[in-house]
Amino acid sequence: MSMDRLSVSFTVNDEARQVQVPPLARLSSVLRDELRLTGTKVGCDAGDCGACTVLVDGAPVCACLVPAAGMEGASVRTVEGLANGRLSALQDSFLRHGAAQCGICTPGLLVTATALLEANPRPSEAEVQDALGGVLCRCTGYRKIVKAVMDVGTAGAPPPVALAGVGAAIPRLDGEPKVRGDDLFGADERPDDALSVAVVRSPYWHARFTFGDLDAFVKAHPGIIGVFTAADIPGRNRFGVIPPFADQPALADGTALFRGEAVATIAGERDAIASLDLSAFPIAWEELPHALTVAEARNGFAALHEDRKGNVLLEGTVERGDADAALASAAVTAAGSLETSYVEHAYIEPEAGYAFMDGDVLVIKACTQSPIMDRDDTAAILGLPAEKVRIIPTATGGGFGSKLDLSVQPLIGLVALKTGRPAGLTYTRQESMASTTKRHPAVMSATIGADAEGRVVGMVFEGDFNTGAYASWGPTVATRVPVHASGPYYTPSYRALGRAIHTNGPISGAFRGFGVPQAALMQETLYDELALQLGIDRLEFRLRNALRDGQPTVCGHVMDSGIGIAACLEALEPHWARAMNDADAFNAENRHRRRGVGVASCWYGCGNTGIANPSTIKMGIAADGRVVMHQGAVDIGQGSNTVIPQIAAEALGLPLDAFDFIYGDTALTPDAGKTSGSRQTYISGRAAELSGKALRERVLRYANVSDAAELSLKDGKLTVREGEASRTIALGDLPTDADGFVFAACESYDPPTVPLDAKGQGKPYAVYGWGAQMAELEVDMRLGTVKLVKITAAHDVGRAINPLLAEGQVEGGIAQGIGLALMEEYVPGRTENLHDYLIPTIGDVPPIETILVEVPDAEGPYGAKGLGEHVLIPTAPAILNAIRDASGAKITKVPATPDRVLAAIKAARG
Amino acid sequence: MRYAKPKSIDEALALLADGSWTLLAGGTDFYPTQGNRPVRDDVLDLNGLQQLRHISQTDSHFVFGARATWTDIIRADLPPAFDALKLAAREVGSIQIQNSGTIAGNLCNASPAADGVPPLLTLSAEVVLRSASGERVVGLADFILGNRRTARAPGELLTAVRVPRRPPPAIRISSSLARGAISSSRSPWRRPASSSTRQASCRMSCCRSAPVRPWRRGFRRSKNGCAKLVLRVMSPA
Repeated sequence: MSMDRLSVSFTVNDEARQVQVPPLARLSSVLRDELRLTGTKVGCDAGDCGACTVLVDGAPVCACLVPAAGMEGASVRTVEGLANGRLSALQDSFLRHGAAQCGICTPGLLVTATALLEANPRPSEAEVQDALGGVLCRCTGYRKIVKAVMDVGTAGAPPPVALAGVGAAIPRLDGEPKVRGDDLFGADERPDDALSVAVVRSPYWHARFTFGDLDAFVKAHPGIIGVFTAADIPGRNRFGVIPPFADQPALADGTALFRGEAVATIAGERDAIASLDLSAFPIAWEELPHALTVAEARNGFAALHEDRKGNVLLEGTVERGDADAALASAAVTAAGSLETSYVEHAYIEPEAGYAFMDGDVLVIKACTQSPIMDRDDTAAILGLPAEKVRIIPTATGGGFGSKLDLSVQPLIGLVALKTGRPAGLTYTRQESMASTTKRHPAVMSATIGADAEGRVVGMVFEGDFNTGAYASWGPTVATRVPVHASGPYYTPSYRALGRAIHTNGPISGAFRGFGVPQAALMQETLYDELALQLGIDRLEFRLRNALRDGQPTVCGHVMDSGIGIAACLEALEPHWARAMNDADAFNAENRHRRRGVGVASCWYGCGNTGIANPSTIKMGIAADGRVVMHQGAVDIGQGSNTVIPQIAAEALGLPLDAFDFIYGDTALTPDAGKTSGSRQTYISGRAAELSGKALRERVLRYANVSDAAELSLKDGKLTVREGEASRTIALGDLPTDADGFVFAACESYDPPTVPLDAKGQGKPYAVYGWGAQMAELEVDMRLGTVKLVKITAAHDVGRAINPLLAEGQVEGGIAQGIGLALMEEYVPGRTENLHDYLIPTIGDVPPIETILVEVPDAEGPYGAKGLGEHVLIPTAPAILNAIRDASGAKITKVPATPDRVLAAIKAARG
Repeated sequence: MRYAKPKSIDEALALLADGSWTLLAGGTDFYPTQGNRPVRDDVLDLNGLQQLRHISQTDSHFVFGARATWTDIIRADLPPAFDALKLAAREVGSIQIQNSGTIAGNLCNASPAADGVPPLLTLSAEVVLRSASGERVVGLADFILGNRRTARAPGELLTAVRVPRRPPPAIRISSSLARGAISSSRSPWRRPASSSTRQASCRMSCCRSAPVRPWRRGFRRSKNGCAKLVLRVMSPA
């Protein structure tokens, strides 16, 4: 038998199928590429993420590890086989509980849980965790998944969508396709005639390169259409999320600055690319000296970018009062330093998409967080006017900041433009991890002083953030960190410095919190130190210093209302007392395992820092009686496709089931900005509120009634009722605009901020969110392992537009905070997969109690504040503080792996 | 580039005698090792050998066919001495991996972090190696030579793992992982580098490139009567 194609017959979801495939083709590829059953997702191709789980003869297996040759006569079940005309009870439960956020891991979870429930219809929590442990989810924090599996068929119906305005805990509006498995992600759609694209990347951290005979390479490989390099780029071969810092080539031009940097693309027929051996690609490398750490890069190492001396990309400063004098006069001071690691976003969907020409317009369908930025940068690279590039976002399987930056877009765009054929590219897990951005590793030091009554009098902070080879969001981190490093506490005298430093390491960009989670580790661990020195309860110490309405922030921003940190800390008080008692009782009985409790807070400014950040939402009532909303805020799982419509429905006064949606498509929707900075609920939500109210106003004025009137839509007729009076408008009889609207509105909102001056003083954000979390855990004093017992999280969201989705954000952020605290350490060049790089599994996230605090904000829609990033910030410092409480171990580098905990326990014992 | 899926052991051995093959069983190491490169090796697919998928007993031994999966081991009716092996089976990746991965694959892959090795060492396990010219039995400690190196000759097929019936002590293994749940056994570099993970297997089979025999020293009786592995004496030689 040879490697030629083999005929394999098997059943898929009880239907007989026959395929002609190579014997070693992966079952995942057979299902997706041959049978076009794309509900089975591919996240790693190595059996680590479980996204491709299918049932083979009833048993869950990773389809990426199953050879086609073994399928003869087998019976396969995929997510497509779970619904039978309507959602299965499990799918329905996932939807109702908010167990699907982005939806990329959902099919694997559903299939695995189906096998569990068929064997064990009433599983315990431990049994669910045991069964689902092999499917990674990066969005949800798993708790709602556990609940969804345990509650199948038992929970009541959710509130009807029709009545769902602000405050209704409705399931996500875009959730059904996610639980059916037919939502289309970046890798799920390819035209039949699409070329595949492979990317040649630098294997070195720093190297010059020259190409050999590329034409000969193409000729020698049947099915390969062309090779494209920097020389083929028609426009400006420089991109970057912050235009003044744009420095990254789409394809490196002669020199690669980091391992994984793209240097060429190869386009060809799908089979030709699949069987291509890249080791034969004609390229000669000359390795150059490299610096991977901030210390190396600052220590006389040649600047990676000419104009950035000392490899300093940007320094951000905030200074208020005389911090040194305040510290000198303080009754107690605490000083320390702390280091963090590279952290990988590890969304389960690697970057993917395809491009094609529609006349003279280049259309790109890919996963993204920022369609307009993709459009503008891709157009510049390809030398096209912006209106000749159209970005249609696919469903996006997680982003967390990294899918703000360009990835596949210019590469597939170039191939489509040059060849005239559609071109698709799906990053491998290794490519995704090596070439896209990370959380900045930080080296920080700080000193905080307090008076004898436990009031913080001053703080100094300094942090170097390894920003890697290119700018990406490094400037934002350097700016945001000093603004936030005080924590949500009144700090009268303050000096903070954040530097973004270039190295040849992976590019550090945006990752949930933009450097603030790192800075919070520094500040919150020192707060514990101060409280211990002063003999004040650690929660009480934080309450004493919590920023109050009317007190200036470290930037001199005075808010008259809306500061919710004290309310969050107060919400934790009864839990804190209970947890302390539990820990004492546990520790009285145990010697080798010690229980501890820790607390930490967060604040986080929503949107851009001190610069414009508008969103625009268009909506209207069409002649057929439907409300159509052009909703350009990309939903990457966080819920903007639900929350923003809820706000609009509330403002307009019509039920959500009257709404249709046109989601982010740069040709159809106005710019609602990027999904970043916890800005969508607040900024796009506010634009939706304004738009909904303007549309309502138009209708009311037409009907000549007051705002007390009630609207209703039925059979193409709009009825306006006020008291006894009622008027029905036959929409079909009225003229429409270019969008087909009888009544239309399009409103924008831009947060009122004041740019920061040289000392970082100003009004960087119009809205902040606040929160505090408490961690309870056990430390094994002999092994150094940490077992989380419970996380209690109080977050001030201003107004919970959708409490179900808000809770999902809290739980998901906590899971990522757990990873940051305990296990995630991306070692450049060594952990480019999901078995060496560990993210939390379903077994690693303890019960989470979420307390939604509502201190209304004057700017936010219906008082709402941002939430997405805030939720990750307090988790890791609360865990570190609990580890110290339990064991005495002072952790100075995260993640706090067992070896680091053990070493710190030993150091604490002296 | 050849692909063969023999139906009998003799056929497999004949093929093995003729050329250099990459063996494919559960696929849980085969595919990740291929990465996204096209398969270039000659591949001998063992999944047609039904006779290798069993767990049985003889008068002298418990015998695990080479293709016995970790799930097969978890479900097998075995005496308490095998509890540590069952525990290891539950820790070999996820249920998905346990359903595919095989006992022989775990040993032949010879990852320093292989979950199956420590409990099988404590059980004095041996491996049965067959070739076209005969059969030999090798103690597990002599079979694994180092990181990804075994005593299997190119023409040999590991057909079974066997454990003598004399009752060895039941043991309990403590593991010390950064992530409590689900850990793959394919990342040897990380473990000695951080010395933080899975200390039992780490100390026994990871810090040295070849495993040591744990029963030479390092056991003491624990309160519940089963022998307990004492971690500190398992330091690298």
